Amino acid sequence: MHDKIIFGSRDAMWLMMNMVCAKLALNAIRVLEETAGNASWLLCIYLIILANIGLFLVFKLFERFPGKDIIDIAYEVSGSPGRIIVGLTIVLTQLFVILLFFRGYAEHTKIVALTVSPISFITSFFIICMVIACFFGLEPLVRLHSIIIPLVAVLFSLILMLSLPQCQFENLLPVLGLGADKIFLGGTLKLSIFQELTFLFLLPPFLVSFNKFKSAGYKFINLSGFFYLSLCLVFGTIFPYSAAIESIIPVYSVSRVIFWGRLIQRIESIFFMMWSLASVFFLSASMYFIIYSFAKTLKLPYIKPLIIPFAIIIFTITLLPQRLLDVTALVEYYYNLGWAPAFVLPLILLIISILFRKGGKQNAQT
Amino acid sequence: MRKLSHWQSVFGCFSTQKTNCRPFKPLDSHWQRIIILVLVLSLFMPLAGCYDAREIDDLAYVMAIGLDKGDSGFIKMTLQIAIPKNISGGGEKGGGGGGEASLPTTIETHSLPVGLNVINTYLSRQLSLSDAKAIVFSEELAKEGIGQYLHSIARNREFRPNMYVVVSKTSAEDYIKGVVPKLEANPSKYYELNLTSYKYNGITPGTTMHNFYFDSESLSIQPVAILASINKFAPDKEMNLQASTYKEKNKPYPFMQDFTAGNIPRKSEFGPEIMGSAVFSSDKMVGELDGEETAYYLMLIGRYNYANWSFTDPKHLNSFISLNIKQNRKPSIKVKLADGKPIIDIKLDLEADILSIQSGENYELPGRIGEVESYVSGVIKKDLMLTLNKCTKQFKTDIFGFGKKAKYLVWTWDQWEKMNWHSIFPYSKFNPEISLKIRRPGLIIRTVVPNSSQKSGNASQ
Repeated sequence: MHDKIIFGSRDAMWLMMNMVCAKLALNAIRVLEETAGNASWLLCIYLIILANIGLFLVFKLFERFPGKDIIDIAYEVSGSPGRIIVGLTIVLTQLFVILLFFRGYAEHTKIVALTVSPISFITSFFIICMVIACFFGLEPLVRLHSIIIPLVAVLFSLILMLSLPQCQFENLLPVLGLGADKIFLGGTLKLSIFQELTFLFLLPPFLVSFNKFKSAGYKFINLSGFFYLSLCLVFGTIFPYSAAIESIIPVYSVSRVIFWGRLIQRIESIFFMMWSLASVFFLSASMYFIIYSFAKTLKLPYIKPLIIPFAIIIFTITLLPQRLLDVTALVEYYYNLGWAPAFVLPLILLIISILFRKGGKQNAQT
Repeated sequence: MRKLSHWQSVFGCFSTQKTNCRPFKPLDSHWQRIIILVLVLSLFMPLAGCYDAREIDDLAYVMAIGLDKGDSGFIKMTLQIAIPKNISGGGEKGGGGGGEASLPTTIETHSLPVGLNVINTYLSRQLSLSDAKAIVFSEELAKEGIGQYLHSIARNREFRPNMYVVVSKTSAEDYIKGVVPKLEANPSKYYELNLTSYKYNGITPGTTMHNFYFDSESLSIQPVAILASINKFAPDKEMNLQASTYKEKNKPYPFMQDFTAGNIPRKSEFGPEIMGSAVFSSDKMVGELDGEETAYYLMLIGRYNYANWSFTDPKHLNSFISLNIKQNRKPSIKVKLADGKPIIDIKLDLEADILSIQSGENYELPGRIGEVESYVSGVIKKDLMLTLNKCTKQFKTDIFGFGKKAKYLVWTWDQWEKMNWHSIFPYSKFNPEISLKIRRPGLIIRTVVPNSSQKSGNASQ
């Protein structure tokens, strides 16, 4: 019992919050603006509602297999092939995601702060932190999230509040932005902003009960949705649509226009601190879960021997794209297809489990 | 097992001791701890300085950037660079070190970044733009279009978005070289204070880079810049009022706001001055507004704060009433379309304090204060209409952002683009409504005029 890692729904919520919201410091808001125009806030509300519905259905699966993560469930439902397919899908998807965001964070750090440093030098910082975090293990990682991410959330809120004087409501007009079809049809694909929900599906064994798991899920979806919505509203009211789609890092652009007399300005330094913390935690947790999923999929007994090899692989694939614009092009795929592993995969498992009567009462009897 | 609080369990997980009360596995071996310690310590190494390290005293701080049309068809870039030893305290005379506080330098270039690069061939310190307070375009360049430079500035992280945008009627080089302030040791502070003076004089627009850039790309508003120049009256020359804009506005004589930069009747050793606005259509300058028109511009966009105004006394045509006029709240603007033409209802809510009544007429009395209020409201309404007509009929550009209110009329961006606001704006009709209330009379509640002067005043009528 004492060796078993257990944490609460609040810890899980902060972990997941960062996994979803860390993208806010990069390009998520710009993608929403490009999709819905100045009605990105409407799209955001729509996505939060969709995510809640999706999560409700996904929880139906986990309710049938209490205390089991998605890889275990895949094994229960369809044996070893299912476990390997689901496990490798998660590993490969997250490797792709970590490639995008690791390189993204490094390149954007180079744009806004370390303009002269080589990209390999900047990525080295990140990878060292990721390796250290993985060596510490899941519990310190999760606990640190619940210390640091609330601080990041406060800094983020501070930036939003300080930028309020620059907001002009008229920039949100016309109300429907690029059109209702773009918001409610094309925008559905942008459910990918919650792609990191996949990590939540690995957490049930670490949470005491299904109710805590469920509560963490709903809390994080709605809280992170709130932050998305806030930034959409603030960014959308400060930047007219034409300028909004030009901005490479929306939060950075917002922090730059904060100007409260001579005393409060150049707030981007706070942004940079917030960004560094959120990105390091995001990347560390992502790497840990990739290794964890890989080990679990292939039934490897130890995780630590995999850390250095995975770090080398991640470091190498991160440097594969030749330029930031290549990464930006790949990010489009992420935002258009990322919803599939997060929502479709568990729903397929749910359908199979219902069809073949796996889990639920049957599971309890066995 | 002892139950732990949330924070106890949060901080407890970093301990390396095995206890019975924590459900977590401590670090396995000494070797692991040593490896982790080495990795953590390795993060401190670059703190001593890495590729991007730049010492403060290795940098040359640019305070203002000027862009003129170049002699060879490119651009002429002038930088005003701070000389820190002359700005910082500790000199014999207290403030600065005694010498020139800034170094102006000019270079012919085809783009900003390359120009900045080349300047470093003859300056010892690397240029830093992070403290630049103003970017000055010459009128000639502004009339040709400055979009290409705006994009270059927006792309570069060193330029601050709150840098002021100025259009100089003389060359930008002359304007910048003229900024040798007497009151400030630091020209940077001069720019900061002078270009924000719109907050208390209301006759310059106080445009910053990010506002200008957003407006230049917008479909619902057009940008304006601060109009600057070198004053044309040399200290040894006679002043005159010929350059005032009062005749255009059918006024009998000029008021102090009826001037643009460069023409203010004053005598001073210090040449640079700002007054009025440079009006743009997209990225091209199409005209200018004088000080009074700029005040109306500020009122309509809701950035007017307070300023002193003079009006002819309605009872004594050779005397003036001075008021300090404030804007109570943001203007109420409603736009509707009739036969494809915009009809714009404007409601301005103003309040004023009496500063002086030269005639000695007792307008402060409760029954008479309304006379001044309605008279001044009428004058403001008439002059506001002149400004609006100038922008619609002459400049054909919506600098007031009425287009932002017109967006209420459509649902989608497509519909908004099809409406093509900038093309229908020149056909706008305006219904201004001015509400002005005089709140306070200053320290005098009524004016007591000596008998002799009252008699002479009556005689003159």
